[in-house]
Amino acid sequence: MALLFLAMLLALPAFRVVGHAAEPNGPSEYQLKAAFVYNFIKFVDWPSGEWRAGETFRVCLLGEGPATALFEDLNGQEALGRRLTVTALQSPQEARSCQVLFVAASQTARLTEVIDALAGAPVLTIGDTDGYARRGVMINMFLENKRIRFDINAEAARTAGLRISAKLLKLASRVYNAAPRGE
Amino acid sequence: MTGSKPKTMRQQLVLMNIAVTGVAVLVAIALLFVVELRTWREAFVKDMGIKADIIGSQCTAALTFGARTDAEEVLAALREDSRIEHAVVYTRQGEAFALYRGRRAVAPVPAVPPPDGHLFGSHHLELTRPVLLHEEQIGTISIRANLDDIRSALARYAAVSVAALLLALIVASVLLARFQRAVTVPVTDLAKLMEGVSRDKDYARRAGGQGPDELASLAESFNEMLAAIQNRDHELARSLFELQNANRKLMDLDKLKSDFISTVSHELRTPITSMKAFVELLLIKPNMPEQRKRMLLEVINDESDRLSRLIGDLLDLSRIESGGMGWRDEEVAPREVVEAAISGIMPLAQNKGLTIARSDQSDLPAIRVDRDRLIQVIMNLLSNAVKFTPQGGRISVQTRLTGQPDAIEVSVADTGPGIPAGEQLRIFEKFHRAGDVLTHSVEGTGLGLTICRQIVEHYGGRIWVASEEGIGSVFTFALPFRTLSEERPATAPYP
Repeated sequence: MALLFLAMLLALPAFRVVGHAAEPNGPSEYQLKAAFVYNFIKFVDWPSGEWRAGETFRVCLLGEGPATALFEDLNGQEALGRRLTVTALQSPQEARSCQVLFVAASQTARLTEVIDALAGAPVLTIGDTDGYARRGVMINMFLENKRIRFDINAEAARTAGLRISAKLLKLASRVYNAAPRGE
Repeated sequence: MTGSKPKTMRQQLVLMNIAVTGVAVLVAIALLFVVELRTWREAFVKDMGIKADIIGSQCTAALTFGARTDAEEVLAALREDSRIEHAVVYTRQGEAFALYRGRRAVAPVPAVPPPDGHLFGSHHLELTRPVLLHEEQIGTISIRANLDDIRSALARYAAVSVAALLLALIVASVLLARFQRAVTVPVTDLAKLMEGVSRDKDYARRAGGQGPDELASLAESFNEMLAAIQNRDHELARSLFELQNANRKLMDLDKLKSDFISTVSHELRTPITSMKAFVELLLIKPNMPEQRKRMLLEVINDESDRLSRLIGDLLDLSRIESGGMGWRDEEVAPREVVEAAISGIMPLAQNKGLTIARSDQSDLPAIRVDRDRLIQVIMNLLSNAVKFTPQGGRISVQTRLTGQPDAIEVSVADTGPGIPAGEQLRIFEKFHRAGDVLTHSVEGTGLGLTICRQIVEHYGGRIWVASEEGIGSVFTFALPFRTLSEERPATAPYP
């Protein structure tokens, strides 16, 4: 409980200045990104019947990068009425049982392998590396004018059986859809 | 309505109508107004609540990710609703995050979110709702909307209400004008009738009984009153007539009395004058021849007899008239009385060479009467007959029973000169002497028949005469049994 409480305390300032990049003495860029990940969850619908009662909400990390350590903040928080657990993964195959997979910048080389490994699984993929969204990562954050922005690959999410809220889509800088289907 | 009170019933009815209709319509309008106002307010709050919820929900992502411009873009959709003055989205921490100001925004935007719920001002509604994301409050949205719509609707409502009120009053007045006749016409008719009756004093008029029950019964009472007044009028007229009659009779009586007194004085003076003259003659000439002296004394004696009879008659008359006569009633046989009277008068008749015939019905009952008075009546009639019947004449006395009503009739017939028809009624009056002029007789007092009539009438009987000039007269009186057998005789004349 104490840990949860501490995590919330940490999270709150992040929410207050949400959207703004790191200020001196303010939350760091990665704290903000962690908060963004937490908030994305609220605007995504996972297929129903996918989880069993009492099961935790698994946020997984794949690869190394500056962001990874800060996801500790999310561990133990609650989202959609369930407790978050943050797990660091070694291989993309492990990620099929996760609800969220943060793909770090170190995975740029084998991103296609990662995406393929998750094919058909309702796993929300999030990244913060240039070009990830275009390559199949569902939500990809980036900095613009010291503000965190994001692109969304709606096609990828739909293929995975996830439904991203229109409100979130509206906030996205770019939204990728399948060319023929358009949207 | 202030100051002078309305005069006519019509005005009263019109005022009543205005008051009743006006109050009824106003109450109805007021109730509808309250209900409508509530409904409008509830609808308005609901409408604004839905807008706030939709906008709030649209803002969740922008709020979550701090996308102010996106939030304001969402809020800008409120531009469609001109009623909304401003809308503010606050963060979870209560800081203003996104703002929309309408063209007509006037009020300052509150720095902190107002408490959840809604608050009506005189011109605006302030509605505040939480912004929820997965049942978690992530911010607050507050909308301020003006009430111009409601106010203009209310103004319209008021205009319609005034129109409805006017229409109701007009329709009610038209209806009243038609229906009021049922009430006012009978009333004004009644009033006109009353006015006419009191002006013309014509109490024979009657009110028609139409109209509502109350008015009909009023008219009925009025008619009864009129009938009562009319009756009283008739009674009054009758009593006035009777009074005038009585007064005239009294005046006649008074004149009669005066005449009587002067006549009596004259009658008394005549014998006294002649007596005094003869007495003076005797005194002046004491030595006149004895034969002549004796003649004078006889005249004086006759005159004093006449005076004495006259005074006796006057006393009888006055006693009868004043009721001071002592009537000694007893059972009397009519035949016996007639016989006594005839035997009393017989010497006089025989002196004149007259015959008296009598015929009596055989089975005459006894009657209760004062014997002496009855004899006096018959004697008076007989002495008159003797007086007026010339020498060798015939007098007949009849006694008989008559029916209906049962009475005993006694008639005295003579063969005298008869009485002219014009005199026949007057001979029963005082000092009226039939034949006075003809005979210059000094024997009668002129009161005999009057006394007869008084006595007969005392017993409820009747006396009359039938006469034909040159043939004779028949005096008849009838005494009814009924009164005769009673202790106290009736005063009413017979029949």
